[in-house]
Amino acid sequence: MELDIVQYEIDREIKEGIDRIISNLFNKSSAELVLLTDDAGRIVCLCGDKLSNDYAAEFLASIISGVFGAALEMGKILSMEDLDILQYESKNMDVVIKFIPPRFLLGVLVRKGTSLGTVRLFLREASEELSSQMENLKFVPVKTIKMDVKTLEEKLNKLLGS
Amino acid sequence: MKLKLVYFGSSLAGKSTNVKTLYKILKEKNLVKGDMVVMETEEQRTLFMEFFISSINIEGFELELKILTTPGQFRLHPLRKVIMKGVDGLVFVVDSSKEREKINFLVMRETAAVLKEMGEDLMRFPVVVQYNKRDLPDAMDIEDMQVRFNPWATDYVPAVAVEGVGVLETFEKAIKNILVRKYARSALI
Ligand SMILES: Nc1nc2c(ncn2[C@@H]2O[C@H](COP(=O)(O)OP(=O)(O)OP(=O)(O)O)[C@@H](O)[C@H]2O)c(=O)[nH]1
Ligand SMILES: [Mg+2]
Repeated sequence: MELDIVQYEIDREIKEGIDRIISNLFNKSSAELVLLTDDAGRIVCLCGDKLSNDYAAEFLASIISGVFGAALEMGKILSMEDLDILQYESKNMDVVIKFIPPRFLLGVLVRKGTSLGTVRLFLREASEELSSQMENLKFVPVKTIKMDVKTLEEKLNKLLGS
Repeated sequence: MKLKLVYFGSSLAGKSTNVKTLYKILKEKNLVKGDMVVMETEEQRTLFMEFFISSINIEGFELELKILTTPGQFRLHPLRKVIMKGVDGLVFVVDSSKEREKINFLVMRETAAVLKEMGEDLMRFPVVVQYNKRDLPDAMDIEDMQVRFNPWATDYVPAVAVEGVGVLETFEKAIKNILVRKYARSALI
C-alpha cells in the first residue's frame, strides 16, 4: 500500500491577511504577545518576542485551548452559552483570550497599566476582521513524499528503535 | 505537520505512566521539545492533562506530535471532552485486570459518545489498543480482550508500562496508523 504523505499550509494570501490583522492588533494594544490558535491548540499566528523558544508558543497554545475549552464546559453547566472572553490578571501582566468563530482563539498578553477595556475593544475589532478570513481558510499542499507502509514502519523503527 | 495523539482509557489504567515513560525515552533520543506539562492531583491522578511535544523527522518531513492523556476519573468527564478536540489518533490503554473489564468497556463507549458530539466516529479513527498491566495475576487472556476491546481489529500491544515494556512500540504503531489512515491512497488498497 502506497502513501502520499502531504504537508499542508494555510493559503498564502489568507495567511498574509491574518498576519496583518494580528500585527495590527499587536501594535494598537501595545501587547507583549498576541497568539492565534485553533481550538485543538495548533498555532496559526504569533506576534511578539516575549517567548524564549518556539515550543514555548506551542505549549501556550495547548494550554490556552485547554483552559478555554474548560471554560466553555463550565459555561454549559452554568447556562453561560455566550461566554466568549476569558481574562487572567496578575501583578505585572494581564491576559485576555477571545473566541473567534468558528473554532479559533485569540490571546493577548499586555503589561499592567494597559486598559483592559481598550484591549477588549481592539480584540472585538480584530475578531470581526478575522472571522471572515477564518471562514475562507484554505490549506494548500506544499510538500509530498511517497512511501509504502513497510518502508514507513522501517523508518519509524530505525528512528525510535522499539 | 502537526499531529495530536491522545491516550485514553479507564481511570488508573496506566495512561500517565505510558506518557511519562515515553517522554523519558524520547528525551534520551533527543526527540522531544521542552518539558512535559503535568496537571495532577496530590495523589498523582491526572486532573486536567499531561502533554509534551515530540518532533520527528522522516525523510525531511517534520512531524510535530503533541502527546496528551485524558483524566480517567469520571468526575473529570467534561475535561476529557476538551482534550479530545481536534485529535488525529488515539491509544486505548486497557487495564488487563479482570476486575476492570466492565469499566474498560464503559470508557470505550463513552469516548465514542464524546467523539460523536464532535462529529467524529471512534470506529473510523486510527487507534492502537494497548493491553497494559500484563504483570497482574488476574490479567485476562489477550484473545478474550481482543474480542471485547478491539472492535477496530487494529494493532494491539501487550504492555507493562511501569517497566517500560510496550510503551515505545505502542507509540510507533500510533504514528504509523495516523499516517496510513490519513494518507493511504484509497485506490490502491
Ligand atoms: N502492575 C502494574 N501497575 C501499573 C502498570 N502501569 C501503571 N501501573 C500503576 O497503575 C497506577 C495508575 O497509573 P496511572 O498511569 O497514573 O493511571 P492513569 O490511567 O493515568 O490514571 P488517571 O489519571 O487517574 O486516569 C499507578 O500506581 C501505576 O504505577 C503496569 O503495567 N503494571
Ligand atoms: Mg493519569
